[in-house]
Amino acid sequence: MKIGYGVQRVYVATLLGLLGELLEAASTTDPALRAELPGFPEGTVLCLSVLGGPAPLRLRKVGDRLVRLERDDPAVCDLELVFKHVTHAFLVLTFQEGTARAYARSRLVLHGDPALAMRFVRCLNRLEAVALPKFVARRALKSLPRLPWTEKVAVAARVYGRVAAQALRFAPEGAR
Amino acid sequence: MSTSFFEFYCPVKVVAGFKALEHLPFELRTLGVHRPLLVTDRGVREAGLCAPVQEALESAGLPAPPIFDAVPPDSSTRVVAEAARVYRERGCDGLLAVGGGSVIDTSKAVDVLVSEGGDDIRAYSGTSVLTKRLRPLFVLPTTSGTGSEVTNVLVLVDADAGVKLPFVSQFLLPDVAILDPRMTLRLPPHLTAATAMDAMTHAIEAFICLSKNPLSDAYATAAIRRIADHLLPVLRTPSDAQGRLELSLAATMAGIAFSNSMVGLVHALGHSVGAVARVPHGVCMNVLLPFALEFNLPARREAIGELLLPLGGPDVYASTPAERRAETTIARLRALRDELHAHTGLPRTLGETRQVRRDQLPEIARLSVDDGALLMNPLDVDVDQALTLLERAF
Repeated sequence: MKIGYGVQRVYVATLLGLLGELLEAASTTDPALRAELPGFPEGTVLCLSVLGGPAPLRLRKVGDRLVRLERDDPAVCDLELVFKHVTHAFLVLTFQEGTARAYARSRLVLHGDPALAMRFVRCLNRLEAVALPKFVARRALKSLPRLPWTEKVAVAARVYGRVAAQALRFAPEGAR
Repeated sequence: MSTSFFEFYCPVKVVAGFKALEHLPFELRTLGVHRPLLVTDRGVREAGLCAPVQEALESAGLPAPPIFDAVPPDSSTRVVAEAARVYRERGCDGLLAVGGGSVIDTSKAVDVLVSEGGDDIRAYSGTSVLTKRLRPLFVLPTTSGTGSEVTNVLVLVDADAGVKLPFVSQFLLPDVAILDPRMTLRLPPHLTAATAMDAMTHAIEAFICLSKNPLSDAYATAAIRRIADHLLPVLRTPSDAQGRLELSLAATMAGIAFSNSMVGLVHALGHSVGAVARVPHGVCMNVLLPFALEFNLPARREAIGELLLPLGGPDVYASTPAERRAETTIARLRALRDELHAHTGLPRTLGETRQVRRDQLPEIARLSVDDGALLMNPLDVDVDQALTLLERAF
């Protein structure tokens, strides 16, 4: 089935938004992801964007967590992973291909310090490992981490729970 | 259909072989360069390797170029700023690098400053930061290893922070690489061996890492075959000019390969061993290569097995059962490592380097997992796995 660029663009925009929320939530609830955070200097802005695509995912390291930036925040990215086209982002965000393989296949370019990129990619990998079913994560990751299912379920519940709680907090009153 | 995709880019003009050096005046003229800054180090200059370059220029009616020879083995941001100052003061219009990896990387960094502007090269570190073509850069390698004459990367030490700064950009590719056997004839045996094993590692990692592609594979296997065929004969007969040229070609081909498919675990570990214990890069590659291949075996058994053909030749390849080729490839690399140790004393383990202490291994492991090279490795590596591998290599 051929999926047009318009649909891909909407999907990618939605997933970038969701990914931002999940990373923000995991940065306060997942010990493994939190262990990566000291590697980012305070105030570091991490970005995942699509050339000519929807609004990028932008996160800032604030204290011991990651915080999503508002669209109108003028912050400049310290590290930016840029998909060359929305269709390349679609491949990765539908978990048909991992971030590292997308970079290896030149669908993704990196602006910034490679050491920061390694840490950011490990955060993305960790999130995929806990938040995705194993058969999907296996396609997206180079190696599946040793992660007992009890831990996977517990961490995923905390991350998704945090996102749901945030959504409820900001939902219009009538929708709660 | 497979979702595979690759890009391949190498615009460097390679000028190689008999009397290659004498092509330099023509190449300078072609790119409109009248006053290049010759960048080198004192060792290269004292070895008399700048003299034939100057003679080749003067014999074509060109003036002797100004020389900057203060490049140390691990060049730094300060050295680059100083060389850029000399370039500007002397009114130069291009760069001529005569030396090994440090000299070539320094020349690339000077090129960045004099082309993009400013005095602080740190402003341009990272990936894809450069925005335009640089001034013409001509490279005459005096070692056969780094391949920096055909790569899009450079690495410098930040003199203030004491850390290594990587730079990656297509604009870092030199314009012309001149491979003349006269430039490597006097390379001492242990450096010949270490730099060749650096090239061997470039080729092997290019062939097994995630970005491998049909074009980089062709360069990688051609490089491996040349090193396997010529390294030991050159060590036995250092004046073998044809063998020296083959090793230079191998280093350049390996450079083209890894510039287009990147490197992996061996380099991630090697960069960190170099940063913590100051072990020369080629020595690190020689020590770590077999151990890293064993680590990657579960994900790359077939590719590692294919390397037996360029490494061992068609008879060995054909007589080895397909399921044993990967292990045989690693065994042959170990055998080569042992022969190099016998000929030149090149260390076989981290312990033999006498520069690495066991208590440094945890720090090396921690640094390794943040090295950008690891992104292209076929398997993820965590700190515990890196430490286990380093312990085995100690």
